[in-house]
Amino acid sequence: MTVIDTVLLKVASRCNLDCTYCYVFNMGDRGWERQPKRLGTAVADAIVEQLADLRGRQGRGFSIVLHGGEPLLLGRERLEALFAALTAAVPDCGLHLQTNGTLLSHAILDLCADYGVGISISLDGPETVNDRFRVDHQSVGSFARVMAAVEGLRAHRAAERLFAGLLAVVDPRSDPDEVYAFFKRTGTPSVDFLYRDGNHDVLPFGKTSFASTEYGQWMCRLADLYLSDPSPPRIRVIDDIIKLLLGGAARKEGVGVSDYGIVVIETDGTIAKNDTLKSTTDAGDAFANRWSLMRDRLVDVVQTVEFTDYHASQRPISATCRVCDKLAVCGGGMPTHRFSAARGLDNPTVFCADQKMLIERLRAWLAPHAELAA
Amino acid sequence: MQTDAKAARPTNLRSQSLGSAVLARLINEVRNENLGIARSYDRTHNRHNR
Repeated sequence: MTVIDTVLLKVASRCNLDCTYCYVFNMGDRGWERQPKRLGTAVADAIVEQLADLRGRQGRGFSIVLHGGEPLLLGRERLEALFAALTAAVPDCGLHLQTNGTLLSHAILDLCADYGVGISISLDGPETVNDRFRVDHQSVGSFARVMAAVEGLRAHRAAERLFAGLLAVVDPRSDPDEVYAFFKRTGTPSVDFLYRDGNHDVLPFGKTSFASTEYGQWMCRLADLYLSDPSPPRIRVIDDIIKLLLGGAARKEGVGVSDYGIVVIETDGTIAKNDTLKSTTDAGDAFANRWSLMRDRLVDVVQTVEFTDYHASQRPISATCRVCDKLAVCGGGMPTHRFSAARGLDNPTVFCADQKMLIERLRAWLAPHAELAA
Repeated sequence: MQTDAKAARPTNLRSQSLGSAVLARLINEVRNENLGIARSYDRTHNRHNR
């Protein structure tokens, strides 16, 4: 049975922002149009009952991440009911919220504090960087509203427990010095940096070819700043790569080759693959069986051949990756970034050259200090 | 692959002389790593990237 470590709940299928790069709304998938706007009571009840069953059957907990769309569109009352039910049913599972921050009121912060919900806010950098892509449906930048949320979160009495960090998407044309300095000023405990979505058929923004290294160069500069800083916030992707180079383990999907299990529950109760596969084709994240928590048992679904095959597809299969000396650290990247229509996921990540450059840079940082035991 | 990485682990990294707060912290975290215990940082930063 595939062990699940992360459950992504799409509690609202729409978003009050319209970020131009969003893999949910603006990369070809139309699944959101078929979803109810918000999680209903019957689906919520099914989720709670089935997650308790999954927790019991697999004998270990998992992270539950409220996601969307924008999860705070669910509204405070329904959020509270869901938090209360999940806390009672699966008390050892961490609750988390990934939000754009624009609806993060003090009342929501209090609610999250009451239920121990960790909050991560999406923010790409200073205003000029963030507002280039993270805009609302009137094309108005979101920066000021998000920063107000960050300030509110930092000022909250439970900030230390609540504030998980910020989540940024890299713009390789931005200045990494400016972006790093900005994130330090926010006072965030951590930042995670994501690459823009794309694949071998549709290259990610800013990348000119498979062999080009725009993202690698940007990340190398970021790593140099980070590793030279006496009091930095955490940067998860860099931490994970360094830990792997040191012989430790990574926690982030798409880095390293340790096993991970993610299941996505859509707003109507449909069980889906990793939602980032939406960026490959319309319904790229859909199982052929179209399972639903309203008809099927999650504990049975995760034991099916189709789910097991999907889970196995997280590991790279391309001949290039299988002989690569960096595979144990790189892990082949995100499956969605390996995609091409001609070969499916049988490719290296489209960020292969970038990842190699970053790994080499981090190896160089370690090299002067690594000695064999006497 | 994880086994290979473990085998290649530098066992005598001197964190105090690293000159990088990040490296010193990460070395200590790897040395004290226990995958069975999810710390708040890890629990909050779930495996999903988005």
